[in-house]
Amino acid sequence: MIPAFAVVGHPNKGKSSVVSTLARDDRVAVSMQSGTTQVSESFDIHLGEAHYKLIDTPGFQRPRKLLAWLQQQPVNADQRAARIKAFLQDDSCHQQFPDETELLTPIMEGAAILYVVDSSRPYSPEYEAEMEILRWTGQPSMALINPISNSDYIDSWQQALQQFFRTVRVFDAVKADLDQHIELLQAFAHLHQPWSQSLSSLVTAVQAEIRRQQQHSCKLAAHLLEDMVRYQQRQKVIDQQQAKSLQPVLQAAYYSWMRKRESQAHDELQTVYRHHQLQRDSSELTLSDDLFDTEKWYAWGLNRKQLAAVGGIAGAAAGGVLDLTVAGSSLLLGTLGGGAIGSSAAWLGANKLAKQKLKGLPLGGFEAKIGPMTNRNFPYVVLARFLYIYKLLNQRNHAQRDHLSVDDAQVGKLLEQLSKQQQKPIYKALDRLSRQKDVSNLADVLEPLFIEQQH
Amino acid sequence: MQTSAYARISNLLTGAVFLLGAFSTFAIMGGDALGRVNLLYLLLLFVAWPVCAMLLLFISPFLQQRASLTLQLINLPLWPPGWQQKVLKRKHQDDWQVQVFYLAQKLALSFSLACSMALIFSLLFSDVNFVWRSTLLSAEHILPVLKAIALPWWFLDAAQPLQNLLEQTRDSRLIAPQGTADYGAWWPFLIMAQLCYGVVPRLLSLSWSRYCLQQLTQASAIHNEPTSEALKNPQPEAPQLTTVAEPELPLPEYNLLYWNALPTELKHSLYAVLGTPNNAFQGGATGHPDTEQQALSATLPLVVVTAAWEPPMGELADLLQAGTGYLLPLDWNSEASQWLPVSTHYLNEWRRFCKPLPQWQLIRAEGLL
Repeated sequence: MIPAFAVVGHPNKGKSSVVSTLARDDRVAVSMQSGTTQVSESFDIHLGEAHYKLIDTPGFQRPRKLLAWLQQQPVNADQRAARIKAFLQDDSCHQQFPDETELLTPIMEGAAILYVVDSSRPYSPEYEAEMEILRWTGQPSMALINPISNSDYIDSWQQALQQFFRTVRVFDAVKADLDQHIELLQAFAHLHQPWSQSLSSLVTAVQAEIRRQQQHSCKLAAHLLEDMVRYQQRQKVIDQQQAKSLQPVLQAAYYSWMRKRESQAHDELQTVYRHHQLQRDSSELTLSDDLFDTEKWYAWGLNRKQLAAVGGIAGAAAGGVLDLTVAGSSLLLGTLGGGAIGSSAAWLGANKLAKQKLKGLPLGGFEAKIGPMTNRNFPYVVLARFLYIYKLLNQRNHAQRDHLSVDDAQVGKLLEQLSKQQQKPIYKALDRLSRQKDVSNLADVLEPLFIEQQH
Repeated sequence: MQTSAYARISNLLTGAVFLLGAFSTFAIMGGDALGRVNLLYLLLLFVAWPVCAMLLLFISPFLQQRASLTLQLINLPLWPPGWQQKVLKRKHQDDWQVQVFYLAQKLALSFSLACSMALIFSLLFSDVNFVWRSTLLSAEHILPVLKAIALPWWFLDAAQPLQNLLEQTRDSRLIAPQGTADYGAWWPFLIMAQLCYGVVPRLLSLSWSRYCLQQLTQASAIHNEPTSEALKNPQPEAPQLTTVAEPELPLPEYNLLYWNALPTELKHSLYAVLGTPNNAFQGGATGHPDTEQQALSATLPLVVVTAAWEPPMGELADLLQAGTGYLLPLDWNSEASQWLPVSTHYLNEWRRFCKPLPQWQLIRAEGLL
């Protein structure tokens, strides 16, 4: 049987936020207005082979009256679920209690109960009727204390909830991280034995999905870097004069393409992490959002010193190959020379942007061309910006609905957190890329940088 | 499986390679000035080249620069503008390596099929004399190689190389040709060579790569299965809000209904601002429906006090349908027995709730804070 969870409770206590967080998808509308969810909405969550359902339900509207209706006839504990079923089959009840009918239907069809309360406000007895009704359903249940604005009344809520639910957990719907999500599923697996196996495989599937998201992000970064570094804009024209006048137009088109490509990659990253609705607040940038402002590159990418060091490492690696081919008879001059050339080239060329060229064609005519971008710092700048968004999305809860603010970040600091062994292939790969050479496994090379970001 | 641009490029390349295969076979089958076709040249094209290409295929996974080679090809300046970008975009897809492998097999098969067709075409419409020439090699040297080549079709006698035929078809200025040499008898051997080393292996590798592509497509379909397209629930429309009235306080004569339990200390300070009620009733969860009805049926105006933070519910709406009066949402801290300002968000919830209840006025009591 597919595990199904009905998220129920008082109106406006964060039920939709809990659904959004557990679905790991921000397409579940979260509203501050109570009574937004008027009909139960079932969300099928597929994670590879694993599958479960989350049901967002309307809040209780008439729990006291409903309990009175249920208690009209004296029933034993073993008949209570049948009494709820009788309520659901009664047409007049449908009209009188539309919200309760909506929320109880999925529960009586087998969904487990996740009862949500807000601990920032005091416990009051008006919740008892709804908790009692839920107890009558006889379905497995868990209470979630959602501290919407503070945790002032957690203790009193815990005391009260424990009277009605076997498991009570504090679960901040807007701040809960992945570990809390997994803990919740594990707790439920213990609570409801028949679902134990499918919930265990669900936990594995969630973890596998995280891994897949990370790998996908590495690929997106690799594709972005490759596209942006290799891109060139060319136009054939009849004469040299025309080619010259075309150059500013080409440059504008080139920069516009680059900006669009970067933005598209960031959008794709959002889609990977299922933050479809999220707005990126570029106005919050403390740095200029202009990819071509080289003065800002040192803040985002590598500073001159780091750049020279990286150039030296990459140059030394190339020189080392030369030493190896002559079996060391060059007395390591290749390594040393390569390092010196690499670092000085990186130092001197740090401010150069994409080259513009104008050349005559063999069969007549001219060609104006801009790109590819050969600046050594450029891939680091692009990578830093991508990593920054990645880091934010990776940690972001899906119920959080404020804009994503982008702040200052330097890829150099992130790189320094890696071991030398992990750093070197990245330096070499990005150096090769800036020299327009092929890097076949760029996504794999970048992986440590992305996984490192999680911690 | 393929984007249309990529499929077009792939078909163009396949066509070009087909023409190349046909052209090279026709060129060799054209022979020398006397129309004699060199058997060894054909073996280079039909056996040596396909075997070397297959070897390259097997060792290519161990060549690190394989991708570099593809990139170099993509970067060649001879491709039409925009083509490189399209191929680079295709390169980002997960099945790119298999796609390249598939295309390579398709091209190789196209080449082999073109060679085979050109050979059959030449045999059908011209009388071909196959000969071989060598300064260094003799028939004894060549026969074991040819026999080794013919091993895969050992069961076909007509397509096996013979010492006698080899000696007869040697073309040399020093050795006079024997009178009844059957120069055309090599064709079954050549057709089998083309099939065994060119067509069949490439057909197999093409089928394998197609199978791999299908597997990849299926796997990616599982992973890219929409999490849930229905993951959308409608956002509410902008609500209609009633205005908040500020009546002159204290009220002259009125009854009070507490919908939520209010601390006793706060009751006193409430009376100081509102005026002492003629009757106070407790409703909601801690009260009784009969008390609520009693409060509503009284002739005096009724003030219903609610906890502002608790969202308005249907139960209260049902009750208010039957009466008239004032609705007063308040916020307080029970532990400190202190009034708190009602936040705009809470107040708006009550304004929305009160809008369809024209006989009820939403009020606030500023003097409480």
